[in-house]
Amino acid sequence: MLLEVNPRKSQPISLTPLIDVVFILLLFFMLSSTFSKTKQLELQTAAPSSTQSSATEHNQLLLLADHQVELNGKHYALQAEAFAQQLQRIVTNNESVTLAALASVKVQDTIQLIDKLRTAGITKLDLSPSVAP
Amino acid sequence: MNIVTTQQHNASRNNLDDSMIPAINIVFLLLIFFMLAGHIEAQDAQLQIPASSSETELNSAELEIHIAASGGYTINGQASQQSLADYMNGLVLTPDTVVICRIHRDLPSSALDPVLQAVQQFGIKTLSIATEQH
Repeated sequence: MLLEVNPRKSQPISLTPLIDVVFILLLFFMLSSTFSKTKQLELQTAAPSSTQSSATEHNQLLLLADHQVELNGKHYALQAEAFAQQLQRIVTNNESVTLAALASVKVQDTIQLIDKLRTAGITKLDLSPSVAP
Repeated sequence: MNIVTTQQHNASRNNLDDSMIPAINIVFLLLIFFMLAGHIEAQDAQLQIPASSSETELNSAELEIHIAASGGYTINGQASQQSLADYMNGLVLTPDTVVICRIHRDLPSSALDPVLQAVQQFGIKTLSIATEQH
């Protein structure tokens, strides 16, 4: 039996389907790719109080709700000038800070405060577990 | 006459193709840009890490703790039914273990406590929190 071979004419790929596919790929990569990079924030964890050196002045900072903080028992608003001055004092005296947050405060707010302290120039920063209100 | 019209048709089609080529070049360039510059990451609504201005590159960790918005957690990819505090107490870690915590940004700070306490207990000095750069 003779099979009829149908020799196809070699047709050049037409551009339109090609562009369709490329556009779909483009849309996929545009929508699915993220440009924000994952970084890390290194925290010193507060050592038990017995081993803390008493040589340097120590500050207790407590993050309260609604952008309020308590530094060594005194209330401040995070944006307040008085708090900025306190931070400046800590930086110039190279004092250490132990930060704790109220249990209800969001992780994002704690991270934001740590950012703020780091930006202010505080290097000796410890994070201790949260405090029950 | 007929021949002339087909020729015209062919010519216009060729012109169309010719004018498409620069457009396709641009689309290809965009495609390559997005493929190389972006990276595809699982966007998990349950685990949105906090934003920070930290510039430190993410290291690889021996212990990676994920804490999702529900409070559920995985440690090195494995979930457990125990409470996080119980699980952490059952671990034995050396003081030089690298620990990275991915925690959902809207969780209360107390969600991080079991990790902090365990890290302190094992004498690990630093804990890394995965953050997203703005």
